[in-house]
Amino acid sequence: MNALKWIFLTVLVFLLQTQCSFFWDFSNLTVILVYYFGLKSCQRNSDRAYSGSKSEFESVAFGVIIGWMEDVISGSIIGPGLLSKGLLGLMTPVVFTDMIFKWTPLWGAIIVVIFTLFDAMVMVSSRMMFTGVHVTAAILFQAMCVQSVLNIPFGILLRP
Amino acid sequence: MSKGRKRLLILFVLVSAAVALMSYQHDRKVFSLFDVVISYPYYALNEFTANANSTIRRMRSAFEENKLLRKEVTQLLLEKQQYREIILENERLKALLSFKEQAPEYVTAARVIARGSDRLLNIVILDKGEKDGIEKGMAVITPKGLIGKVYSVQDSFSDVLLLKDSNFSVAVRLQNSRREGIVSGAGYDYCLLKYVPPEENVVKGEVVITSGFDGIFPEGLPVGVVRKVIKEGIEFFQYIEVQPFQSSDKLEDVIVLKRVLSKS
Repeated sequence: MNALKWIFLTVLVFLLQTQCSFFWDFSNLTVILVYYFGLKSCQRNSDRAYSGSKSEFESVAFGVIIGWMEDVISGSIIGPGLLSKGLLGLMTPVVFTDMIFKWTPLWGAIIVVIFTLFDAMVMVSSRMMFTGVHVTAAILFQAMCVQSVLNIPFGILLRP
Repeated sequence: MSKGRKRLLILFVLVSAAVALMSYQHDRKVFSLFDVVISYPYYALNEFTANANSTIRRMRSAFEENKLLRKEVTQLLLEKQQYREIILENERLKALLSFKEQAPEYVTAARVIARGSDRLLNIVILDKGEKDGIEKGMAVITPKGLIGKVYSVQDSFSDVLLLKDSNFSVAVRLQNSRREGIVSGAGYDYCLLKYVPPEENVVKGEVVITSGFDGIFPEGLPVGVVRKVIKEGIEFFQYIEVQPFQSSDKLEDVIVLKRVLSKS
């Protein structure tokens, strides 16, 4: 049932991101999806008294799958999305188990902003390095800022 | 293995795998099978949603167009109705005009603007009165036939007592038999022809016209048609019902005629 929920959420996120021009241009829902999975995985495994590495492994695996799908859909090389989302999958449980300890809406918003910026930087730098794509700093900065700001509500609303 | 080392291991594996993957693809495209496996359901789903989106847009557009067309059709129907009214009014006015040219007793044409408020009398109100030359007792007709007579007159309005009112009477003649009588209102949609003796042969369908002997109505105005005759079970005169040519429920434009001098 839980797997079905995540499949449904994944399909929904990809559909929204590719079909709605608003989400495509201004938002980065895949970051939110990986972040939310990491958050839930962290919570679930701490409830069951599992070790932290299980949730880290789960969310890295989920992030890798999401990133891989994103790369395939984007039509470019496979790797940038996989790397960035995998890293986000690793960072989410680490942040909430060893750094913050207790989730609050403010922390949620801050983490989402940082993650969105981090994801964009990893994606763009990988693409620039391995495919030779050039993006001007102004456009990149603008896109990253807009995406980060628009992702803030998700950071506030999505709780563990 | 400690937690930190595990994390470092995951990080290392992840980064090196991704970098190796990207480096390998730098010059050539690989994983075409995986591409197909992932991308086919995605593109199928994408196509489905795009089609659904397009269908919804088309439906919305058709709905809007339908709304506009309905509005236009309603407007056209209203216009058509207005034109029909104008045509009918034109026909009525033409008939009145031709009557005016033929009738020397013509005073004025008037429009029926309301029904009378007196419940005891069957009255209609005309939009013309004394200043248009209308006087009390004048005959009121339409090109079809007699309607009634002017009952009271104000400056700009006048009341007309209708043929069907029981207070109304007119001297008449049967067109074929030339027998005279009096038509009075019965209070219904028909009138009664009075004072016709039983030996007179009155047939159903015979036309009744004014005789002019009452000094009010000009001679020869069509009044109605005999619709029922009863000779049995009567005392002195036959019971004859007359159906007026002009229904008092469908009055719009009328003509007012001068009184004539009595022939009797």
